[in-house]
Amino acid sequence: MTIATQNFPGIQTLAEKHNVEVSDIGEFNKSGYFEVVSGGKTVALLELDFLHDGCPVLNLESNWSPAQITMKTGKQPEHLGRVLLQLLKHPNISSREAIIRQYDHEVRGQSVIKPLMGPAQKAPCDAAVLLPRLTAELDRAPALSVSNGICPRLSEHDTYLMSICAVDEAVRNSVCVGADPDTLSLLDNFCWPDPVYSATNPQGKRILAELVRSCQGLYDAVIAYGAPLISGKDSMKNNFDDGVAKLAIPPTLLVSCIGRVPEARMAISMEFKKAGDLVYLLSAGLLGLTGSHYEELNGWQSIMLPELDLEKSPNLYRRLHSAIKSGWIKSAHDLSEGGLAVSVAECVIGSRLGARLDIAKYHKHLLGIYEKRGSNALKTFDFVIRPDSLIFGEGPGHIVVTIDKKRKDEFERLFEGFNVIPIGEVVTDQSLLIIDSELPEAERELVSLSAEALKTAWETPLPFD
Amino acid sequence: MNGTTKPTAIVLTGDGINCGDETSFALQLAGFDAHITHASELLKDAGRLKSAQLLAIPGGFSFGDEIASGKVMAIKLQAAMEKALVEFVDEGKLLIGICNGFQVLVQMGLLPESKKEGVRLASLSKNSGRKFINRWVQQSVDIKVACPWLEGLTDFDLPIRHGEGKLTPGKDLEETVKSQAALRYATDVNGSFDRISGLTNTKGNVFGLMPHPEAFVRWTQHPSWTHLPSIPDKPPPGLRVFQNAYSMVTK
Repeated sequence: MTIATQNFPGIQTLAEKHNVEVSDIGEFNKSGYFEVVSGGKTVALLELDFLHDGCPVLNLESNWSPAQITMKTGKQPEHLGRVLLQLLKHPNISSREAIIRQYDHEVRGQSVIKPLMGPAQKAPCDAAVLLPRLTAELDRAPALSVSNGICPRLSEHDTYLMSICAVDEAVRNSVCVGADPDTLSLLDNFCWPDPVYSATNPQGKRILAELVRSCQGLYDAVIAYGAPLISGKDSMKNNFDDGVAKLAIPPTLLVSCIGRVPEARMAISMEFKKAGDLVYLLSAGLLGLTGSHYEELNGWQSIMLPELDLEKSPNLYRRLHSAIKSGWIKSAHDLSEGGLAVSVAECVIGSRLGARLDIAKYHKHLLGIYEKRGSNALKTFDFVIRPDSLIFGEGPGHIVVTIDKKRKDEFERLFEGFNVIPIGEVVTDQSLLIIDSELPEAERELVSLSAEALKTAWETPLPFD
Repeated sequence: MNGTTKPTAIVLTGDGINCGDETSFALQLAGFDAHITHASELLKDAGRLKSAQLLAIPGGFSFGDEIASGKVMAIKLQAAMEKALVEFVDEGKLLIGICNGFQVLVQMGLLPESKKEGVRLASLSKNSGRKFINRWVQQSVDIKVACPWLEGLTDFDLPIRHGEGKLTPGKDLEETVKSQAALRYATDVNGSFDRISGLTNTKGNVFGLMPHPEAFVRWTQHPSWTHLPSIPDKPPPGLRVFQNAYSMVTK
């Protein structure tokens, strides 16, 4: 640290009190040099001009061409319930409780929304809510949300999309716990493979192009959400080469978000709250299978990329926040890894309640979208409205919320002009039933599982201790 | 005590204690004038205790839990101010040790209370699961053990956040320890003897516990608070502990 020279004895006293060492190692002067002396001998002498401006600007080349994907898909598996259980066991999705319990996540007494909430301390919350200051306002004090978003699996296909999805996920998580979408600030952390082309790094031009695309996506998303990037950190050489194996991480943008929750007691946890509450899916975009966990599970690859409607999503989130402030929202949970089915399964696991869902209206909503786009869209993606795609598709812009039945009319009125799709109801029976009544009788039931089965799968230990 | 002056509490901090702020905050809410005081300052001048009605040793990792949790802090306190501390307790002033602070009190032999000064009757050893645990656990008050800190409380939730919380009495001391067990876990979480989570001395002015009462002074701290129909008007159980302390010193 630097201090005013005359204060050094004061610092010494302070250091003594805290049992730490402090040493006086130098001072600022007007010499124009950075100089280090050891034992009377100068061991470093650098001109300040060189220190500040001496690093030459790199002139790099990039080369962009869209990713080429060979479609490889298959028939819908017979038991979607079994697939859901497999997804809940996936190490990207399964419970983090074993880790969360092993560190003090409540120290300083500031937490409002903790990593695990609900009646059994099992509900995996979307974001943290903290009180930045301990004040006598207690439950009425303004609070802070802390969330993040990361979608590296989309990078292989499009880093622009990966970036807007990461921003959206961070924003959505904060909004879900009660943050005002007009108070958000973001951090960007780029973790990238080496983007500098050379003989030993022949992929450099493509990786640099992916970085450019990522920055473009980041720009568009933060402008749309009006959320400034207030800091960040970049790491650009995430490669491994021991002469035998060469590895590079997928281009990854981690976005962290902080936002203001007007009052601590307004914060929302993600699990279902009460039997009889209505379940809605809020949507601003399209879910996709590309990069999804469902696709990975089946060894498929498709070009059914998710889409985000950046014109709609900021206003959708504003409406949600106003509904939260009115006290209408009982639970809100983002739809992410594993899609709608995993999202509602988590709401069930966290709650000691169950849900009966009918996705017919969502099905029709999607048909409407693809019909508008013309028959070709449907033909190319013959499986976009297949039940498995509907419940396991992943992507930005989607939130599952529950409301008190009595608020139905006001709630639907508030969201007029937005895609707010009723998908069912919370029930006391501790199970999850998902049907699609648009389908022929024999094919209607998609998932029927007990909450216990969901919980057991979700609590599969991580593949490390 | 005249009505306009608040009773003074000293809250120990420094050297790895990390719950000083919220412990001080809880005491302020309860009506105390709380002073966060660095351990080195108190060790240098034990006379500071004279002006205080309550001393709190909060949770944390004092001295990095070296040797055993609370051990180094206990040695330091004993070496520099054992007499002052014993006097403080003998005068009937209040001493509370929470989590790491409780470990310090046990290491010093202040809890379980022993007839001989500085003789330790029990230890707080590694949780039976060998792992650190952070979770909220229901606490049950033993009405047979007089503990004014828990006045008016019966069953309530508090968080535990420790790796060494398994109370283990010395040989043939089980009954002595039980007679001081004011607080228990409703279920066995860490292998603690007789599910004991908190101890008090005969006089009831010294209280040590592994769970954190300072972490439940507002309702929105509870992990299930989002299921409450509305935020209750009454103070949460954690705050009640400190309010009880306030009643004790102002009575």
